[in-house]
Amino acid sequence: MRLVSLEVSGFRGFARREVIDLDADTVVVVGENGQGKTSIFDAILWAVAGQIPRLGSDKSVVSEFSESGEARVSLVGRTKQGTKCTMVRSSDGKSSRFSLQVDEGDLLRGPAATDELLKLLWPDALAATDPNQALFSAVERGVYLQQDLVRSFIDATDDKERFSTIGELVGTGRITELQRVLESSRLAWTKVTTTRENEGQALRRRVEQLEQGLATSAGPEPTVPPDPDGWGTWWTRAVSAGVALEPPASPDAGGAAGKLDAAIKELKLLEQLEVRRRNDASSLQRDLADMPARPADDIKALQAQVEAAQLGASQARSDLTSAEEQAAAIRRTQVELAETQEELRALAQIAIRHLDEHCPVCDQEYDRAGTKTRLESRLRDAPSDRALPELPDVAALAGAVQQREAEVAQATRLLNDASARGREWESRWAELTDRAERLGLPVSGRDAWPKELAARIRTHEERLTELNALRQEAERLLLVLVRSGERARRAEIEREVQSLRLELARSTRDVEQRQKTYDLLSKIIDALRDASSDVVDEQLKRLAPLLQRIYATADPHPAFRVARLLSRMHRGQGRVVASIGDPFAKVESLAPETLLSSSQMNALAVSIFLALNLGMSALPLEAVILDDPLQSLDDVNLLGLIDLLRSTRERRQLLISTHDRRFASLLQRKLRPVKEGQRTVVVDLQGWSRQGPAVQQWNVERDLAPVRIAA
Amino acid sequence: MAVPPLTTTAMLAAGAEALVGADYREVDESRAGEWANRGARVFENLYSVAALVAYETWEGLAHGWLDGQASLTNLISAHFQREDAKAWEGYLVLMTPGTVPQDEAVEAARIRRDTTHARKLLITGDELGSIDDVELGLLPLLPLPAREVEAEGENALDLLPALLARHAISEDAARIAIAAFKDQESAAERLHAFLHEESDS
Repeated sequence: MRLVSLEVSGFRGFARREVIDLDADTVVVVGENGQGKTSIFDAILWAVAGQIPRLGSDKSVVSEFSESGEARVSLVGRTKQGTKCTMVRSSDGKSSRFSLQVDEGDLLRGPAATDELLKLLWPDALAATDPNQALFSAVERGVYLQQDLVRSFIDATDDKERFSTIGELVGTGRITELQRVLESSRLAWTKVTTTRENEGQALRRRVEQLEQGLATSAGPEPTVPPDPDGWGTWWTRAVSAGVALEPPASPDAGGAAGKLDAAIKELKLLEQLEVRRRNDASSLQRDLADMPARPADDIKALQAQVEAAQLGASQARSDLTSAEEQAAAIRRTQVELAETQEELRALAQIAIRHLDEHCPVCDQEYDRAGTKTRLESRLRDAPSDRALPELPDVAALAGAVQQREAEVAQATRLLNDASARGREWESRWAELTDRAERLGLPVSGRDAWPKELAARIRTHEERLTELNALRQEAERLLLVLVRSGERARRAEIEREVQSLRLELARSTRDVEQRQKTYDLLSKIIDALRDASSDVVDEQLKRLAPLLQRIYATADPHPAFRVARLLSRMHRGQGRVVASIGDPFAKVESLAPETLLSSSQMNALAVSIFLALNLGMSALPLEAVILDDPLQSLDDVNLLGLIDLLRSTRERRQLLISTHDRRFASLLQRKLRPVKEGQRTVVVDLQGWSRQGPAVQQWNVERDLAPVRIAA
Repeated sequence: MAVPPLTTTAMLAAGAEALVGADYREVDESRAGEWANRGARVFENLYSVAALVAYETWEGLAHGWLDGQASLTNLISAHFQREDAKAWEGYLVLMTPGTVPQDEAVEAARIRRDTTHARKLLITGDELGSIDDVELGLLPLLPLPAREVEAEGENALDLLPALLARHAISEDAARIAIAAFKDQESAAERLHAFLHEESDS
């Protein structure tokens, strides 16, 4: 991007708003120390990269005299494609804001603006771990040589950081991104290859399975296909025999084997039915033959016997009951008598004890001795039993009852047995009758049943024979059909195997080719691991003539006239060192600071900076910004470098500052416009105030007749 | 075949070739003034006037360079005013195939660093390994060759094919992978097509 204009306000030395015209091949900024020259260049850096590390935080960029308390910078640039970019950055010292507008498009803010800026200026930074830092580093190392940091690349920076800086400048970040993308592509490729391998494995298994199946089965024997007429005849017979299926038109008809199979099943069922019927008839016939004569028991007589026995038993029980009652009465009487006697005895004893002259009851005189004698005899004598009847023989009567009851049981048993025999016979006969009815035999013609049954059995057997014959024939036909189908199936399988083999061969070849691609991709990825350092090394080799040319033009040292940047790998890390050499004495030193004076080191540092700037194919800004760095160079070195810068103005926009007005005049003369379209602008900072310097800008006039002697 | 020794004529011719190649125009003898008789050659471009003067020996150079400077200054003054920028853009290129004696090294350095009147470029036999080294002495007058400055459009990715070739990776394959990366397409697919077409063919 080429710089067009810069507007600053509240930024470092510029408290008030100032617009600086930068739309020129060369911009010479002149002003005494402290008037704001560096502020202009810092504003450009801050606008683009958002940081100025040597100043610390954003707080340092805000002018102490800013009326708004904010620093604001607006930088307008134009890309090679002519796209206008307006970058505006502002800060209050604590937080900063950034916006970007591309041409007349939408105003982007914040991270979106930063991302877009990176895409426009330094797309390589997008692959870096810290893209903003990468952009800053590219600007600091390749575009803007700060006054205080002239020699930092050589002195302060270590080998690794130099390598990293050059790596970022040459775009090794893209290599890292390429490596990452290729690894991602390889991973996705591997997944698909694995899927294809699995598919191939499945194909292989399928082929093996089918081949195994073909190998284990010998294959059906060739058979004569069914005759269509015979086929039709069979079906006609089958339908006549009771098969309820729609006959297939021919053995080749679709589903013919299935229908035949179903017909066989139906025939089987019909056979089973005939067998059942035959068996039913045979069974009935047999049972009829085995049926005994009706039992001849006289049930009525047996019933009469039971009744008689029951009557006898009832009478015996009645007699027994009476006898028991009589015996009980007699016993009760006996008990009463005994009780009375006992009471009397007790009375006698009491009386004997209490007898005295007078009766204790009526108090009369009585024969006490005679009474006592009688009472004593009462105690001695057993009671006289009244004449009681003789007890009946209850035991005998009980025995008679048992006997009668046994007779009843016996008679009853006989009766039950006879009844059971009769019922059983009736039941059997009813069953046979029922079976005969089910077989369709007339109930009334029982005598003809055996004959009829024999005829039926013959009929069933004849039918069975026919059904069996049909079924066997059908099975033969079915086997023919099945074997034909199997032959066809086998042929189909063989065709499938062949097809699968071809597919497997294609799949195998595909996987092999994919593996080759994987190998190539892996090889590239592995090679890329060293590519970053190779690129740095290669770029340094390409820069070498340019660096040498620039250094030789500066001509800082009479002997050490060769300068190089050398890259090397140390413990897996890239490193870059600066070297100077004496080509005639064939001496080289990796420590130029030990051989060169301070001014000579500055010349070397500026040479390296210019080589990096001019030698890179792309930089965030197509400019060389030199902040008073040439002041420490000897006159000859200075003139040499300025002559060099003159030859680069068509490739780079030059922004150079100086505090020395004579040097500024030299710059204006040396870098004056000599061709149509060239422009040299001088920005003169005059005086210092709290609001900032007074700024005057003018164009250096073009020499209209530059060639006069040789014209 | 023996290499002929460097002569002043050859040096002048080499210098002239370098300057003409850098868009300098040689000033015709008729307009060269005092230079016409000196065997020197004068050139001019948009920025400066350069005079090439060759001396047979260092001694000749050491004694004659001031006259050369004066002649150049007079020539410039004859065509440019003081206020013209080119009035101060004179380059006096002092060449000799002879070497600088050790005790004259300080004088040589002094001449080289003298920027009064005109810038002096000193080319002596000490720096001349070959005739092409004359051009090295004229570097301040010459632009940076395009081949030394950035190759337009060449970046790290453009360098990769040649670098990967060192690892036995064909440059075609490397370019295909890089092109796929730039086009945001699958590198694996493109490489596969490349390998497959190669194997088929």
